[in-house]
Amino acid sequence: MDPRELIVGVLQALQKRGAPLTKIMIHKFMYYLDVMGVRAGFHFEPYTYGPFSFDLARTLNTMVFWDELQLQESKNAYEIQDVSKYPPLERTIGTRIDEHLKTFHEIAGSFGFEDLECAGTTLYCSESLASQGASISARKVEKEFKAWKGEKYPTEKIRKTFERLKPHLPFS
Amino acid sequence: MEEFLKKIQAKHRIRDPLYGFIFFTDAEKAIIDTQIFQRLRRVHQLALTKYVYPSAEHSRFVHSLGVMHCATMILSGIYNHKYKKISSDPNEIQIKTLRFSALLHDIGHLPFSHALEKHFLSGLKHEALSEYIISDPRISSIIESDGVDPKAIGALLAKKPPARFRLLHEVISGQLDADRADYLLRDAHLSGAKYGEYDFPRFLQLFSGREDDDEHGHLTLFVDENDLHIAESMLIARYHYNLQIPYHRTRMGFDLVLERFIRDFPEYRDPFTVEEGRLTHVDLERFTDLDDCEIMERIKKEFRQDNPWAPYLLRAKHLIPVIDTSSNSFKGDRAYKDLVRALKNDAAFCEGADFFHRSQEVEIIKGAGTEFAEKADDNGQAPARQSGMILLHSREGKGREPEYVDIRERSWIFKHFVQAPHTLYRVYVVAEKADRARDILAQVTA
Repeated sequence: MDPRELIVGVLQALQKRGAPLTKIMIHKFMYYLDVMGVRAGFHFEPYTYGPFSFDLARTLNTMVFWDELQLQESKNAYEIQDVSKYPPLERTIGTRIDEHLKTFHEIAGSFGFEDLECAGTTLYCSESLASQGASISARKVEKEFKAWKGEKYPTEKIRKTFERLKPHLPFS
Repeated sequence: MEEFLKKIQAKHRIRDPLYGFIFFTDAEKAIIDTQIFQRLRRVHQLALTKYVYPSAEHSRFVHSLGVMHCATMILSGIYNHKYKKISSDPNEIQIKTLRFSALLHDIGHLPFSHALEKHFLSGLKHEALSEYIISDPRISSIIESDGVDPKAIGALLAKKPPARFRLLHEVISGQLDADRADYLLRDAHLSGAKYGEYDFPRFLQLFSGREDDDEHGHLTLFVDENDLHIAESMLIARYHYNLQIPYHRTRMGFDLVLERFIRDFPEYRDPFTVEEGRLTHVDLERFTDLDDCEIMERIKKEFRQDNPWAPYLLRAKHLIPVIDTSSNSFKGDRAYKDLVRALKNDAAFCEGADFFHRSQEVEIIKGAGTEFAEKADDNGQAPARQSGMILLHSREGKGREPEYVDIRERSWIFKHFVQAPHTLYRVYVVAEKADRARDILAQVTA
């Protein structure tokens, strides 16, 4: 599948649910989808506001260049323009995206910037621990989180986010 | 560096045109001797750049050894730096982890390096394959028997480093890492094109490190302001290198044909099983044989059977660039877009048969152009420190207390290179259609 097809599907799902088409929303939710097995092959790495994909950013820029998307004046959010050349996603993938979006909303608490940053970072720290073969606990995730972000978010918020995320993690 | 090599008992050595000798341990030798690593001798570092610079014939094999050596030299430079604030030297495991990661960072490279990886791996990149190979017992058992956790290597290369490996990650995969340090010098030296050269002995004295003040004491890399020009010179070297070597106009034409050629042979994807965007299985026996030589043999065979793309790949023909412009030029930007649209709508042209186009960002700094990627602060400013950006140890002159700041605050070069990189826009056509394409270009730009 052309990764742009998935991007279009995700943007349409976000729009349908009234979620903002902001850059942070797209990066964090596509990262969540990637961990949950709905993948476009984008590579995510730790960045200023949590996991971020330079490939995804480049692809979005290309879509703007070809007038498929439009960047709003704020430069932080997109509008869908002409994406008719992309075939719709298979129904099963579309359904999975909708379900994951609902769950992701519950985990993050809201689609506000800080909640998305916190949810994305918590998920990334959990995945980083899992990739080293370590068991995942609230304490370990919090430690990784703070080593990356310092005291930007209170312990309580990180722990609560992790507790909401934990039942959905595809690794233990 | 000798003390580090002694600590890990690196008693074997091999000649290298850049460093004189590269030293390695028994375990590293065991990895180098595996067929899967030896395969890298048959993967060219610069793909078809040799059709532009004829001596660019070196391999990923020698680059991988070079990165291992260079990473050790950088680490040694950090621990010998006069401003370092680290209480203890790296232990044996840390040095070995760094070196294994460096040695194996390109193990998953496919034939002709970057040019074809998306085709082979259904959109994934070679890093995913490297991670898979490192977890295979053929490699992981050697790493494990040397007391190192293969998962740590995988995590470092997959860009999911735990905080305790932050400094090692910077050495392997940072803004001015060992990979770049080696390929800039090596590619410049071995291609004969001098773009990419910089002051390497001075570069090795560039980095220092400090422990975080918190309970974790993780290590962070920094650069002292007196060495700022060294860091800047490497960026400038990389800028010219990118334009003149990997993104050279003629080479890009060959890359496009190579991608087109391979599209007709889906069987090369067979060794790789990608499910839901993840690499789930690799036939490593088959992968070990899949190298530049195999693809080149196929090209020769197809040449005899009149494959239209094979003559290009044997340097008997080449695509004609009808527009070569960049985002620096508003007119050029517009002309590229209009020309591509016009060609797509012209019955005489078929994309991938008569014409090709490519837009290519000239990235100098990782993450350039993304400082406002997700959010500008409330006052419209970029974040105080962009993640992944180098820390600068600065006094702004003598007699003041030093502070650690984002390097962009003190470097005009970094500040400018971190902005959105310019993009190259190129359209190529087959020779038979060049005149018609130029006519269309004249019409759309009139």
